Amino acid sequence: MKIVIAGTGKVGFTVAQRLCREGHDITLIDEKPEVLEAASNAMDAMICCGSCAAPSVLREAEAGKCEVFIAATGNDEANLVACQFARRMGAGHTIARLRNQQYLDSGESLREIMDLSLAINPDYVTAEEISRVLQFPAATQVDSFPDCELEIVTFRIPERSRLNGLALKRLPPEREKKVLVCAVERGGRVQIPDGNFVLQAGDSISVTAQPKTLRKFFEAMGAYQKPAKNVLILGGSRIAVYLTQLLEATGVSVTIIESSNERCQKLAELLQDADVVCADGTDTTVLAQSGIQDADGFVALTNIDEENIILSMYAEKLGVEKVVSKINNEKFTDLLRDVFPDTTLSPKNLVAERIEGYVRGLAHASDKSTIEALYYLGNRDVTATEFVVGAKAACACKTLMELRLKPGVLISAVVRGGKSFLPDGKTALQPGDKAVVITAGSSVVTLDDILT
Amino acid sequence: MNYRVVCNILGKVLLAEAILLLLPMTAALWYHESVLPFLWTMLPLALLGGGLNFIKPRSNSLFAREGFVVVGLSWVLMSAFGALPFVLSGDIPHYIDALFETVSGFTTTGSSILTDVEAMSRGCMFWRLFTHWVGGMGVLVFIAAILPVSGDHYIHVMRAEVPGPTVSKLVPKARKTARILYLIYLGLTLLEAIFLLCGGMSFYDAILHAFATAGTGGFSTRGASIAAYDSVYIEMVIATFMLLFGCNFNLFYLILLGQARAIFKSEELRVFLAIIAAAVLTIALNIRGSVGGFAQGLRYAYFQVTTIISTTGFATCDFDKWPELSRWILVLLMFAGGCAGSTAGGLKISRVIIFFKSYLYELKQLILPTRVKRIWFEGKAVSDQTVRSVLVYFQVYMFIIALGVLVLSLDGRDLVTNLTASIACMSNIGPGLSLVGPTGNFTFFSIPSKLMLILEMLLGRLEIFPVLFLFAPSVWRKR
Repeated sequence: MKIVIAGTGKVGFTVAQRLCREGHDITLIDEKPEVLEAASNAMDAMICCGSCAAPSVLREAEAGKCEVFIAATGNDEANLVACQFARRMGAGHTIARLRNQQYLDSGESLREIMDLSLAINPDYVTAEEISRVLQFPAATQVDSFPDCELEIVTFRIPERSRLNGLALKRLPPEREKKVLVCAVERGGRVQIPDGNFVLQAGDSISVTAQPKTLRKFFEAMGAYQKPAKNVLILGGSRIAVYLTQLLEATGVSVTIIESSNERCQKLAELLQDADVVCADGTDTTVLAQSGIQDADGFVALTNIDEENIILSMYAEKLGVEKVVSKINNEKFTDLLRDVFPDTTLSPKNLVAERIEGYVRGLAHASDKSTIEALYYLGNRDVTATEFVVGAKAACACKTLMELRLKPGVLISAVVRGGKSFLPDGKTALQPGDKAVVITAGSSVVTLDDILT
Repeated sequence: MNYRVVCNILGKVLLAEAILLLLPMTAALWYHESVLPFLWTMLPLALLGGGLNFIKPRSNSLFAREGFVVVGLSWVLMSAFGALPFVLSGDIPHYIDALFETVSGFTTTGSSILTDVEAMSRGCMFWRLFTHWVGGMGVLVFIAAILPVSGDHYIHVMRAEVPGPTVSKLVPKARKTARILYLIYLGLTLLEAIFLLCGGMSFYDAILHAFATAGTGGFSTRGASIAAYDSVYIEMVIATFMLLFGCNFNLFYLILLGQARAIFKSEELRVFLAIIAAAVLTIALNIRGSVGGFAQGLRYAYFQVTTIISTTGFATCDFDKWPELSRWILVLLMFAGGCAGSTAGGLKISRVIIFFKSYLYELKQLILPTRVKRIWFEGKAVSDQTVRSVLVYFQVYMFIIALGVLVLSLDGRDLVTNLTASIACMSNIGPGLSLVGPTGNFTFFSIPSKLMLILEMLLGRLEIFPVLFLFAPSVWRKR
């Protein structure tokens, strides 16, 4: 597919690189030639220098001929204008990155007026993800799928857990029906386990189940933690504002530490109930005064990765149950995996994932299957993709036992008629069903790819 | 350095050469000649290439350094093996001579050491002219077009092989760009072959001369080159196609897209055509007395100017006997070369333009030092980085030509011979003046001189740096 991406910042670059690897024809637009130069060295893409809101530049980049136009510059208005122009010129779909939530709060209307296919706010997406993890502190990652009640929860097995040394087939039988272990990461390698697989402490496992069942499962396994009730947020960024709003809606009390007085005034204006502390969060006495010892959740959202990491480690040492840090540089994430097992989030990756899922859905839509959503579990090797089973899918109307699945492929959840359940060998996929497919290693872009 | 990726790509290059050798072998079969020279070349190529191809890279990271090394080594290896059929068939008994001929072929130079061209077997002759076609667009671009190579960084390889100060892609994917370039190349070659067939050339000669023109090479199946046909039609067809192959291939793509008007906005093309027009007129006027009238003068001048500026090197007359002014104009044209992104050699018109503009810039800067101004080219301000690299390129180019003359002087020939031989090889033209003129050849040079010229041809075709990097220890050292 021909895709034009305007803005080669953190988000634009990541999205471009991922889509380029999938074989799409990418054209990048940016105002800074040196940034474009670096991008053209890192990926097989065409570059075009200029403002993305200028029709002449869009024409040069052939935005009118592309199937997807993604505007990901740091300027909301430029993104909106660029998308509008591209759509008028004939772009098939437009995706805009909008950081001002007011544009999105007006519901569907703005998207309808501007004819946007997708509008993404990276800060809001990140805040949602963090709030989901804080609801389920034992997990490092929680993913849910549209229309599917089941969630995929990734967590690390602690030393004292009953899961340590347990083979999967010996999981208590009444649990096995309701809980499915779909991926295990050990020592940087990910695999899809079978019944003989023996779990160890330190493994990071992804489990699919109903939220309530998951809670029971975690309780039984000695790994359950209550949702955070008292959260300390470091850094008063936009993410912090959205996160506070999301958390307060569920009755969590929030304290925000922000060093800039001006910003603190703004935060106090935006947030009625949250405690806003104007102080330097890197100072341990400030943290103590703000009540870090009583907090059961700590979220580091400053703009400096290193600060986030160090302070998260400090908070963990003080015994805060759930620690989340925002990390922009993904190289750090890989390094940190061993020394710092808690949740790390990168807004650009979250956005890139959403856009990638959307583009994949467009690129591989057919009467066999369409993609509804896509997530990465743990590191980059495992994907969870939600497909809609098409009328002509090769795997439709056969029981899972009859299907010859590729190694490293697992169907972890099925949604049928609004009800979601874990499939077993006797389940047969029907056209119109939604199936969540977990894959490790192999690339699966249509539902038929899961068969050998 | 990522040695595994380098080896893997080299393996592919050697395999590609083995496959390309099938064509001259078919020609040998057709004319009932021995195919053994080709078989014995293909065998080691296939073995070594297959072996290297088995080395699977651990990571696909490929940066400017690997790109340069891959390109430099590929060309050296390709030439080393490509010389074998000539030696094995006995057409060129000495290996160094055969290597000279092969490098001259791949680099599309067209300088020959053959004293009797027509005595060569038909299979070897096919290979000799076919090397022009292979080398013209570049073998690594060819590989990118036909094989699934890891795409993210292959642009570094293309950048090292495609001539010109900057490489622009036609479409987002490097692989599709390579394909489009080769299709245009193939299409134009076939078109020329058809035109030549219409002019009464034999099928074999038409195809081979189309190869030699497309790569802007200059080898011919005849000892007297194009003069042997003595046909105005054939001369005009070949001259026009030499001019076309001296243009940037991106322009042909624009025509294919239906934007024919856009090509005349190209500053480089306009300067290219202006230089040709001025040179043709001046030479025609200058030589009209000796060739029998202005019309004849135009005929010879058009052919010789296009053959020199496109760095092809065919001959329709002995321009060494022309007046001094015309001879000197031809020598100047030898430096200019064709447009960037063409199959021609030389400095390239775009570099010459930037070079002269920076001259004017310095002059104006002297008059008003506080003035702030950038050099403009093709409607855009040129980055200082590009200007600097153009200036450095020009200096290194001149330095290598001078060094070449120094080595050739050891043989004790006259300065004009040595100087024009050095320029002709560096700019990938073919014939020079005096002893290496259109009627002469390079066979009398000593072995050290031939090796120097071989080096110059490779340096000229690959735009110096890929070959130069092979000699730099810091490139090979592990980081």
